[in-house]
Amino acid sequence: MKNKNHKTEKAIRQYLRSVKREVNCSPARKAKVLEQLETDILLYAEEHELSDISEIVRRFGSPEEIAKSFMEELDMKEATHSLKSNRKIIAIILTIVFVTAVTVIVLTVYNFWRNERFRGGYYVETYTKKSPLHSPEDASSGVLYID
Amino acid sequence: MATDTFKKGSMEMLILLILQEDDVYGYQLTQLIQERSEGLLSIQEGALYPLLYRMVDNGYISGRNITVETKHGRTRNRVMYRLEPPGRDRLVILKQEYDEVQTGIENVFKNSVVIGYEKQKS
Repeated sequence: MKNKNHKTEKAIRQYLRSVKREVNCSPARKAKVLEQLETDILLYAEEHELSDISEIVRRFGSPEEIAKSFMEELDMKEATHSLKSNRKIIAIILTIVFVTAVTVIVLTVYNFWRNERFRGGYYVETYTKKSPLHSPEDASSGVLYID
Repeated sequence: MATDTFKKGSMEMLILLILQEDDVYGYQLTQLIQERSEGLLSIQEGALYPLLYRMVDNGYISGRNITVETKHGRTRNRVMYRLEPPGRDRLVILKQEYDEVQTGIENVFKNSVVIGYEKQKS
């Protein structure tokens, strides 16, 4: 019995994953259709034998058929919105990649330039003694501050 | 089983017709269409959702969430669909269009010599 339930759940998960992959619509609508499908399949599975994905496909339609129905039924506005969302995501990813690449190049060039500049040279560090008026304890112990 | 071409065009009308009687869940629509067509028409549930969403978007029908409990005690939301006033108007238009098309097709058959049709029928 437990094994049968496990098989059914596995088949349902597999089916819903395929539908999620195939259907092209707004994320909100996709979430809604997946929730509705899952509920209907689960309730159907309580009354009927559903041991593999082929039975789910026969009753609820193949993921490809569902995707096709969405393409046919949904208006152009949503289809365009979906395409625009995809383009937006791609644009954001490309921008992040571009900014990261530019940052890496600039840092590399800067480090190279800095290393070249100080090659064979040395740093000059200046120390000054802070006024005892500001910090008498430090002044009395002779601590030096870096400017 | 009727082919997709005719079926798809008439599914909206059949859904509105069924919803005229009572509010029903999506899965019940598929069952009722199959039962009342005496097995000649069927639509898979997955393919029905996009059509229902479009009809909701157009204001012909509305859907409300009903919480149901599974046998394992888990609660799930099921959508129950209801016919709205614009849906009634839409049904009248679709029925008129359907009657016109049906009469037109019958007229073409009546006025044409269909070779092999009678033979195939018998």
